[in-house]
Amino acid sequence: MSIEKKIAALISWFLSRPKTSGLIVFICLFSFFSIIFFFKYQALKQNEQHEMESILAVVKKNIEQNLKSNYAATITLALSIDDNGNPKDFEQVAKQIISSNNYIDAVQLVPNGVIKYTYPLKGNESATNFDILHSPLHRQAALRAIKTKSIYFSGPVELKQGGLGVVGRLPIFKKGEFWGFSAVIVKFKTLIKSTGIESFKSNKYYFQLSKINPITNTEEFFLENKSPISHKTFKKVEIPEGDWVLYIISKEQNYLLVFFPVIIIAFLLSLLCGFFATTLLKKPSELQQLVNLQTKKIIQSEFLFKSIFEHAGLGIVHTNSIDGTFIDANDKFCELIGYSQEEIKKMNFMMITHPEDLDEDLMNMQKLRSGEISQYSMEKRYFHKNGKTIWINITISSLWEKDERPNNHIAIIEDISGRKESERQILESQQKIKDLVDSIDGIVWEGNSKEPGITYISKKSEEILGYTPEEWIADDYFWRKIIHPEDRDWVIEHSTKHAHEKKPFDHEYRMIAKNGSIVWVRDIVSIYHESENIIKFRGILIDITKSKQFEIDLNNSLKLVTEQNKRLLNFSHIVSHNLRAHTSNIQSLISLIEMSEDQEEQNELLVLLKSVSETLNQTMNNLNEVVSIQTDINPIIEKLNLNKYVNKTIEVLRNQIIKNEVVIINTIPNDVTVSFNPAYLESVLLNFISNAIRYKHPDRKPEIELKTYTEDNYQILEIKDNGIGIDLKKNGKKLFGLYKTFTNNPESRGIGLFITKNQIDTLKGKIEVESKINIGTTFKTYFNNAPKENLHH
Amino acid sequence: MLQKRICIIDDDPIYKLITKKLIQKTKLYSETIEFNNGNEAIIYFEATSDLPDILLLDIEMPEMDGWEFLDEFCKLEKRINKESTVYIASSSIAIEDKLKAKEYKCVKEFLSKPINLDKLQKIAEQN
Repeated sequence: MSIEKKIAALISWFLSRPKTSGLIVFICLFSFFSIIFFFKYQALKQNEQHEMESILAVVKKNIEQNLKSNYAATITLALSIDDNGNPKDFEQVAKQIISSNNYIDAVQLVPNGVIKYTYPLKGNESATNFDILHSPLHRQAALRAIKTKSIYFSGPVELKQGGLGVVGRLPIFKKGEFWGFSAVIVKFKTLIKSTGIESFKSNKYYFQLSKINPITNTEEFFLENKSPISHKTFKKVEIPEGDWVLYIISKEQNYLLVFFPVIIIAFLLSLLCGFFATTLLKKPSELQQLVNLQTKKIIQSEFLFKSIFEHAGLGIVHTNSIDGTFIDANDKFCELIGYSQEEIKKMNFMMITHPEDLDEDLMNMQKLRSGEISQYSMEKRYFHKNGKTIWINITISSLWEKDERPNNHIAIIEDISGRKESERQILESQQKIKDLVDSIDGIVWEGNSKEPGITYISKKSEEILGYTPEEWIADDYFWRKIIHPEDRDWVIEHSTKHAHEKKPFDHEYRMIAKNGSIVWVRDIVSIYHESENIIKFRGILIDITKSKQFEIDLNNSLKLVTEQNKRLLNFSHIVSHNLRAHTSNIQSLISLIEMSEDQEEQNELLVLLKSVSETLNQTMNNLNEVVSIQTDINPIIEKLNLNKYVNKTIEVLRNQIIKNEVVIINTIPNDVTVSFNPAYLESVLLNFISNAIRYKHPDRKPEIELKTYTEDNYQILEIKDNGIGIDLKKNGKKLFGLYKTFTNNPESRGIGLFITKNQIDTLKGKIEVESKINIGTTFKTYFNNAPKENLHH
Repeated sequence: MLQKRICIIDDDPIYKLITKKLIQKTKLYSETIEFNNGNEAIIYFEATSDLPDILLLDIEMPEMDGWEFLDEFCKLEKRINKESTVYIASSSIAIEDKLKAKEYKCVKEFLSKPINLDKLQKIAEQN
């Protein structure tokens, strides 16, 4: 386990340090290559050494072979010397030697160190008689041969006969006495040829031959390429017969140079691998960093969630969505329902939910599980551990993804008991206010300034008008519709005007109750600014039908009294005027009579006085007639056949009609009746018809047209003549006044229309006149169909 | 004293008869003219431009009453640049009539009937 951990740590160490790792890869790889090269180099070197050694051995062997042949040749030559020290058959022996030895160029016999015999002589003549013991070049070598009593090669040296060569000298002793030397001369070229080094010549090696110069005592090299060899790879072998040193030298100066490009390649390769490793590791490292960052964030958010969960002001509970058990709950939730964490974890939400709220909750939960919703909120009741009910607002959110099976959910619970309590109190106080409003003996309403219709109306409406608040609210124009048609226009106009001016107002109008009766209401409206832009109207409709009825009755009585008073005043004025006119005349006449001394004049004045008293009497009678109408305010009313009375009047005026050739056109049906007083009707008809005849036009025959029709509550009698007409502009106002006459007709009394008007007024009728001068006049008499009823008002 | 010309406009024949007798008795007036109503009088004045010095005018008359007559008469006076002194002689004792009479500049005084000798003498003296 610990090893695995260490490995993992190591790997992560590497993964987290891509540059270092890349460097390590580079170093390892390069070291590995270097080691391989080193061993390769060693192997190569060894190989070379071996090769060089074996070549050198072959060459040495060849040389030694050669030297042995030379030695044999010298011995053979030496043996040709007889005991007297004279060579025998030198020529023959020498010839044989030369022919049998390819690598000997010449042989010599040198008695006492002086060259005497040479074979072949040709080409070597210059050497004859050369005393070698006295030649500094050869003496040492010669002495050495003598000393060692064996063959010793001198040279390579510049031969006396020319050319470079070696001379092998074998000292010959005769009878213990030095005789001279037997010598072989091998040209240097031949010598080299005999070694066979030519066959080993290759790109790899070259040879060198050296000897210590006897004079300079320095090493002297003889083969080509004399460059120093000390720093080169070489092998040497000493040939004691001539104190020669044979070298084989590797041409390759240094193997490192051979390896150099490869090393470079290896270096680059390592570098490349290191770089790749870095690059490859970098990516995981970046990802790792990202993972680390995310992990940090997750840890942070987890911490955040944890702290929210633990310290939230709301209850939070983690619940199993399948069986409803609590998985986890925060302290607030525990505090809310009074159970401990441990107790809660053994419970489910159904146990603490109020049974009345449970069905809705379970239905919502079912929807949540089926995926129909992912969240829901509701207000419900919990049972506290102490048994009390608490109101909460719960918000539930599922914790599974769309394609997952339902597992758990989170619920956020807010205690709303306080709010519920205030809501209940508000409702209670609202109900109180509503009850209070409903108990007011008037219809309380509220409306908006911007929209038609009302927003509230109290229940009293049902009692006063018969309409339920629902009927009011349902129709925006309900109020308008139930205003009495005669009042509707002005009420709406009045209300709109005041609403527009934002002034409170108070008006009285009629409404039509549900049962069709007319209800007089007083609508007191006040303006209420709910906010700057919202203006509301509040009003109260009070049923004033009873007091209104009294008021109307009172007004009617007042009107009647005022009217009568006016008539009375008018009457008294007229009476005083008319009576005074006569009395002042009487006064004047009497004073004239008193002044007069002439009997005749006095008689004349007495006649006048009599005439005045008659007129006074007449006036008194007229006034009596008027007074009788004025005083009789409740005359007997009967249904009278109109035509019957018209005919009766025509009969009365028969003489006048005939005299004036009056044409009467009567279209009144026989069955038309009017409710009127019989005497008044006679008087009215007589007045109108006689007037029509009296004011006939002088240029034409009078024509009187009578017709009748109904209009509203009236039966109208129209009497039209073609007489002189009346200037209504001038006399319209005075037409029905007492003692108003507009013509000089002597029959005008100025009383007929006055009485007629009075009689019709008394019975709640009216008179209208249309007239054009010189064309004719039309009098329309409006007989009230129900004069009695109205008489009371 | 120069005798004045007087005119009576009234619909009451007895009143006119009595007043004429009284005028004769004063012997202060040279001539008396009479009309039955305002209309007759205005037609005459317009036709003749012959205005009397003094007018005794009744109010209540058919066809054209005293007020209507005054409207026309005042215009006529201006037009023909002549003047008469107008006295209203009415049996009315109503205060409205007296007040209304004051509105007319050409009305000198409101007299209540009966018109007696004293009143006629005063009128003559004033003019």
